[in-house]
Amino acid sequence: MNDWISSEPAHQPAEASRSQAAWRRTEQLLAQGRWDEARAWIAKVLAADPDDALQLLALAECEFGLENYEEARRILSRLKGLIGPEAILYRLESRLDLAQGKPRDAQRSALAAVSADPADADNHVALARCACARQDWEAMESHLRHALSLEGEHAEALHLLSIAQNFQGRTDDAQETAHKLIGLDPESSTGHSVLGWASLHAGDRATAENEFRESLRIDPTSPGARAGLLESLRARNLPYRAYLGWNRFMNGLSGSTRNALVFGLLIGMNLLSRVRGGMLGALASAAVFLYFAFVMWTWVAPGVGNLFLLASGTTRRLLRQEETLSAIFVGGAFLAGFLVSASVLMTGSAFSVYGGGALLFSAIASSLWIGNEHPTGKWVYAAAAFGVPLTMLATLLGFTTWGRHFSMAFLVLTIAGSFRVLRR
Amino acid sequence: MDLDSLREAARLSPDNVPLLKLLARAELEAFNLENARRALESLLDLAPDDSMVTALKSDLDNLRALLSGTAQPSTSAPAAPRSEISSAPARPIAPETPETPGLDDIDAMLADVERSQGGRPRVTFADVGGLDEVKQDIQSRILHPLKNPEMYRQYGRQAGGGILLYGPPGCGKSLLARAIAGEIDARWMEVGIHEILDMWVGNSEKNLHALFEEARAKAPTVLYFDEIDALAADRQDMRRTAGRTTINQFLSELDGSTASNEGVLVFGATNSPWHLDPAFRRPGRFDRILFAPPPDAAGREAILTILLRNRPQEAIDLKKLAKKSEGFSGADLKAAVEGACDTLLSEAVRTGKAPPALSTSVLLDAVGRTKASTRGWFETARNYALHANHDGQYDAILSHLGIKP
Repeated sequence: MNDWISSEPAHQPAEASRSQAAWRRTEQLLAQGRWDEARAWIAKVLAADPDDALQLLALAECEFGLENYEEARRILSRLKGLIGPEAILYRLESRLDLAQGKPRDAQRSALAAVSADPADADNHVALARCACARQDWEAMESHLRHALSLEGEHAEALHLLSIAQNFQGRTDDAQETAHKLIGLDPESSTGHSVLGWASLHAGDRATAENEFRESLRIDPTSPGARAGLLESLRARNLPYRAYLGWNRFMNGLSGSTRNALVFGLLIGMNLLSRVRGGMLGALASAAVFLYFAFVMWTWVAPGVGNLFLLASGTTRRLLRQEETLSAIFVGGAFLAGFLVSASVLMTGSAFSVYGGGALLFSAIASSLWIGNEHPTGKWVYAAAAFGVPLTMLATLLGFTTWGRHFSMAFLVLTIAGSFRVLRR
Repeated sequence: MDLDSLREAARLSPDNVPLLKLLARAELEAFNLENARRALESLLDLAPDDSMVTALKSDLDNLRALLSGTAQPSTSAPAAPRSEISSAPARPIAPETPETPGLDDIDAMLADVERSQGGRPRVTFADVGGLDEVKQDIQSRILHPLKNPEMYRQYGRQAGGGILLYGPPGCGKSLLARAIAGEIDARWMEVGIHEILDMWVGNSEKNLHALFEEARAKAPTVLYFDEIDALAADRQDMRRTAGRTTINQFLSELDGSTASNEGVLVFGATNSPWHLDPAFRRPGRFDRILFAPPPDAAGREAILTILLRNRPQEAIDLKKLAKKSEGFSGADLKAAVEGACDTLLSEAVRTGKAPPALSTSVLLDAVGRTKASTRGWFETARNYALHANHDGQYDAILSHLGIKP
């Protein structure tokens, strides 16, 4: 046997063998999304050859996966110096731009990828991702169709196409695309997940729940499938379904139409609230009340939905910490506020009106507190969620039972305390 | 000059090369390998070309190899066997760091405490802090059959087999496996993936076979595969057929298709049991699965005691520290203790005074600054336990998290 085709050459460079073994492990880790471990292995190989483009590209992927975007960008520019303007580099750059909230730059990078290699379906998928970020579903579908014309079984293109169809309200098409994806790979977690979303939007909650569970069985870390499972469980309640329907309707609209609708409704309600007396006045008041109730519902619906999940032993364990918090402070405060406010019909007490109002206010402030990612925002809304209703209640109690001086002192102390907390 | 005085002198004069040489030699002679290593590290920084430093390093490596019963100084892996692969090209060099660098250091450090002869670890369950439930489970399911093989043979059961240890990184999986070997006085063979994986077709399989053959020849043996998911990855995740043949060979060795595995206890340790090929969990393979959780309060106390040994300290309230370090792995505790030492040393450099002894408050501060590395692992593990808990294999995780299976 010739040496050059032998599986055991006379001399094997240990360094090369070590690199090869390390790369084999790196490939495994990359496929499993274990970025930090993969990074450690890549570093070992790069120590021997710092200009290994394949390893550098894998390293950029790892940094992207670990959300070290600037580091990934630095590696990309080094790679451009090493291998020139390759489409794969522009694609990764486009993903980086999207992750960093720069949709225009992302579009530019994706276009550069397409012009570098127009026959590569991946580049058109990159363009579709940019359209997705702009919520331009028609453009997204068009790019994906182009990608699929180049590579009919492109899994990511099919996955995104199903999403685009879903957002355009074409749930039947979305389901068909998802089935095609599952047909290509029955163990595709994303396939089952998009089928779940399409089924949920089509109102088939049982199928949606099953598909999300199947998706999670295959990949328990899938965030889309987890969110979908929780949505399908919350959608067991009619009011939550109304909220989902509204969301779906709004998502189907373009940005400008959506804004026009919101402002139109606001102006309409303002005009209606000026109508006084007679049957028309009563109808106008009812419409305004329903409008505000609905607006409030859109704030608190996820929290109330979580409260229902928290109440059930089988679904409780699916909730994460922030979801449990929203169940208690948003859902709980809303439900309590609603009951206390409704009790005014039986008691006619001012306490019910103020108490109910305070709790409903607290529910909205809590939804802003829990959903807020900015530390100061969290503090402000948490202070509002607890401080304002407590102050209102204490003031009311003070006025009705303990005397005005005490309640005023309490009011001042609470406000001063809130400022102190905020300053800290 | 006694050892304590030498240490104190070296502490006050950390750049004194002759003093450090004396200390390293004294630590070596007292078998304090970890301390010797530390002194040597300083020496290698200060005088890397000094012939006596090189000699000391060589002595340390030899002593370590001798104590762990292996002939490869920089790892605790078994010596390269064996006529079967003698014609094969040189095997890759094992890395000097573990797969996830730093996380399993605590195991290595604790392993240095063991005194072994002929590859038989002297570490026993008494040396493993905490993990009482796991130890009890091991006693009844693993050790009893191994200590009473005749009884089990009469009932058609075989001692040995495969055990999968999983849990967050840095939580003493390898120490536990080593302690099991110590309990049954079995030979210890630790295998890293670099010793198996080879770029040439067929060599990885040969390496695996040779390892099993050696383990069978020297039974009773504990064969320990660290990061087993690298060798036994789910075949659906594999892009290459080469990896698949290694898996098939591994399965065949576990099944004992070519020779009996009587007396060979195969341990696999992993942080990612969900990435293992399901075929490995079938009966006769890794059919006993043990969860090694982060150390409980007693375990953390024990680890802290070891970590604080030989460091200047006041009366430390270990209970308080253990309470505040809930969820910490051994590696996290080590990071906290080292962080506390660094704080004192930086302060000493700034003020020009001798550093004070470690106190409870300094250690509590350091614990407060250290993030428990097991949290991320449990977030992932929770998802697997909730959504992919086939046959209750992750019930232990749910139970640890206080969720009803």
